[in-house]
Amino acid sequence: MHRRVWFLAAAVVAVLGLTGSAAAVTAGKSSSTAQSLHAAPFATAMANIPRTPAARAAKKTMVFGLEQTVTGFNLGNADQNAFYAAIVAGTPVIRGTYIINTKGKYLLDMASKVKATKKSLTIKIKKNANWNWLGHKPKPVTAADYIYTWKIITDPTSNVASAVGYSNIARAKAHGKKSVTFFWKKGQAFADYRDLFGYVYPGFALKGQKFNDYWHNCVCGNDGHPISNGPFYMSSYTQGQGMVLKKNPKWYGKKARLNSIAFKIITDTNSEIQAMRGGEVDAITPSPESALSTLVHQKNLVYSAVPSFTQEHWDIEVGPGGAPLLKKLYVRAAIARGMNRPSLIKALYGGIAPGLKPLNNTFYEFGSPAGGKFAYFKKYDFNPKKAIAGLKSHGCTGGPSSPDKNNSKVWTCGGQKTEFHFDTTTRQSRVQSSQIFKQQLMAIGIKINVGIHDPADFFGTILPNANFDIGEYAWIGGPDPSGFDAIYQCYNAAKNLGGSNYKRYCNKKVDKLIKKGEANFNSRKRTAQYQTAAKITSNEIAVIPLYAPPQIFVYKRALQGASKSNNPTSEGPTWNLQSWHWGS
Amino acid sequence: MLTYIVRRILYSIPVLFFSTFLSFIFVSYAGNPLAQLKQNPRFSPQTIENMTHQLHLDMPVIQRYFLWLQDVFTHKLGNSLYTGQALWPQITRTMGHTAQFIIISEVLALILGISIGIYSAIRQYSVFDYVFTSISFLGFAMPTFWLALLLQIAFTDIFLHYNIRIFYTSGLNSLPGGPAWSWDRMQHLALPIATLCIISFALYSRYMRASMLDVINSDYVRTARAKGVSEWRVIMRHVFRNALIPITTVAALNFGALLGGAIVTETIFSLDGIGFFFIQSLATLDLYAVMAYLLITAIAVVVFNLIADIAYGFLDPRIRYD
Repeated sequence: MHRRVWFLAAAVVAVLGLTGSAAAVTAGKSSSTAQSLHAAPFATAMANIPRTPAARAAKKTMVFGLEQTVTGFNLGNADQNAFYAAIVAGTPVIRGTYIINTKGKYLLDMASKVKATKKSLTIKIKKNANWNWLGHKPKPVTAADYIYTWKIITDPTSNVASAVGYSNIARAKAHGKKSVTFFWKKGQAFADYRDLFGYVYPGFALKGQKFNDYWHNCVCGNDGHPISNGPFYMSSYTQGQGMVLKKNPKWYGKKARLNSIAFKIITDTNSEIQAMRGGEVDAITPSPESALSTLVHQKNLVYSAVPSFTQEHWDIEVGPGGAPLLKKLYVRAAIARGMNRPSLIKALYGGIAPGLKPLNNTFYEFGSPAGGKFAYFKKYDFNPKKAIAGLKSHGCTGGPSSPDKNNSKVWTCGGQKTEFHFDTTTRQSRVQSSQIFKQQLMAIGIKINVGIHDPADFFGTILPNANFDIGEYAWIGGPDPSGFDAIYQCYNAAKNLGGSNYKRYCNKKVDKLIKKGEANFNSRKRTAQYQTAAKITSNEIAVIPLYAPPQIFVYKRALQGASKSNNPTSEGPTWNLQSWHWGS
Repeated sequence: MLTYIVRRILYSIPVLFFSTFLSFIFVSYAGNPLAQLKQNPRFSPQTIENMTHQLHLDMPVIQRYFLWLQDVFTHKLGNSLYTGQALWPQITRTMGHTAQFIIISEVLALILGISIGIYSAIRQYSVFDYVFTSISFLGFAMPTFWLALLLQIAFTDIFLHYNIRIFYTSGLNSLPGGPAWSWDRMQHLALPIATLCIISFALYSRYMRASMLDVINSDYVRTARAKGVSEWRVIMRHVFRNALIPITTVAALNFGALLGGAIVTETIFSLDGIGFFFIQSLATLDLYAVMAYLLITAIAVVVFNLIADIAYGFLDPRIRYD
């Protein structure tokens, strides 16, 4: 018995030790052999990057905390089209024709000149724009790369996130190596041309690769060596842990001031906060959560919160799937006026994004086109007395005579009660906002019954079937208003129009304005057309815009060049990564 | 014994089949994994159509289950529904990371739990016994996530006040891809190990104490004392070995369960382990990745159950399996 016990204990220790060693070694091997296309071993990358903040500053390197695991680096691929992939593999590594700055302005980047007309789009590529493919001589970025990019995105077998705009191109013609003209299909000139070719693929380096398969674990050529036309290249990547970017000496722009940046994946927001406080990372761009308030006034950190290009809103179903009363403008107006949007924003984000204001334009979310005289939705600002007056003036009865937070009476309008279903997802901010608005609307005699759904169910079934009364969710937008065309166009499945118009809003005038705006290359007239469409959709309460969730960027005060980095567009905060450097 | 082992393995096969079938059905009906892609109003409907067909989402669920089962044997668990990448390398990678810190925490918990359990039993109702009983109850009562957060904040504050880095609060290494066995890795794993160790230690110390007390009052122990055997020899040779039997069972079962991933611990500390892999896959409804995880953990539980039974029979000669 004595011997059995010791024998068993020894066997257990041996097995555990072998398992642990083998597993840990296997883990290292798996990441290097699983994918043939990947960058250099991590041990090499790690040896060059110090662990302490002071040492990192001395070696011109930094660590960026990344909040989500990355599924891949091919920004055009539906699977990999994520904000965090763009932070790493977007502007730091793969550049395009334009870059969008923090004000939503498009600046020429890899192109020296762009000319767009109703017939064609001509792009002149910078003479010194090169591909740095490690192990190969640098090759220029050429017209062939642009043509390859267009073809691969419009290939029906490619799982692209969006081919909008690219599919408007009929043919292409190269003029030498550094100039290319794309000709629009007849009647399909695409005025949002600046959003095309935001990244360009190195066609020559990807021969033999399928679009759906490349760049899962690297940004590299078909031999597995890193490739880049930006200020950095991806020298290494470990799945589940992070990646390292190194300075690209062949980049056409001003050379990066940091030698390398490590992106460390820290998915838990609280862990991110502790890592930032404790100096384990030098910068983070976390999703907005109230716990971030601990970082707001920390003296060695800079905290920046700007509105993002995401439109959190209420869709009000005016199609056959929704409540008949919601088709009446006066009911929608009462709902809008019963909602105190500023107080909601303060409750949700007051501690982490003070100064965040409600959205008041249905097409523009940011900057001067979204505010001032273009704040069309302001007429429906919180005014519960006016909401009640509006219902009364249309013959509604049975509701409260004045706003009352203890009210239980519900209006009856034309024989129907102002009681509606409200559906949204499980996201915490939406669960909170549904309860806040439920109380506010009940105070004016409108009852909403809240339904919380799993996102897959909400986006997969409820919305596409237009089978809801009111729904809260967010659209991801951009500086160009045409990104919202499919939300407001009259729904027509046969013509592939209004595919995202789940609320079935339809105004022919708005359709005409959108159609004109889509094809208008005069930016002033185009903006005027979209603003007119915004005015109509606001007046008719096609949606109730709520807010743009804040985009937050926190970095060490000693990190210079990052003060203008918090970019709310798809470029992300690393859009000017080459400017970052350690100061004193 | 061999017959018993073979019979147990054969019984496990229908159990695994049934559990994977049910899991597949439930996860499939949880929702459409492509639904969230539609948040971009410009998202290509053609792509959704392509992906629906490529991922067999347009097939009946039963048919998809058997396609998945085929992939398990012919393509080593198949590919991720979401990324299209092979799952086996991801499972082995994440399992390796989990095994590393689970093994260390379990060994520590066993050593501490058994030692303290033995001493608590010998010195029953002493100050030591009361103190460690209280600590054990505290360990049982503490939610894992709370303890993990507390440790993170504590060690960050220590760094801020004294500028001394004792342990790190997240990740496997300071920088991606660091070596698996290094001082840096140990500094990163210390807090997750402490989190799991405290909870497991509470379990083992209580079991050991109870088991020791059960055996210590037996007739044969009294006989050994009466024969003049030294107290140390009585405890270690007669009491401890017999008290070890239930602990062996509990430890084997606990280890099997933990190998399924200390999900909360890995999520909070952002460790690239199997539990974290599971949570990320579930969040995106990556059906095949979730199924791979469930299959691996089901096998782990079955195997460790079997190990517990075998160890039980090995330690106690009175128990024989036919």
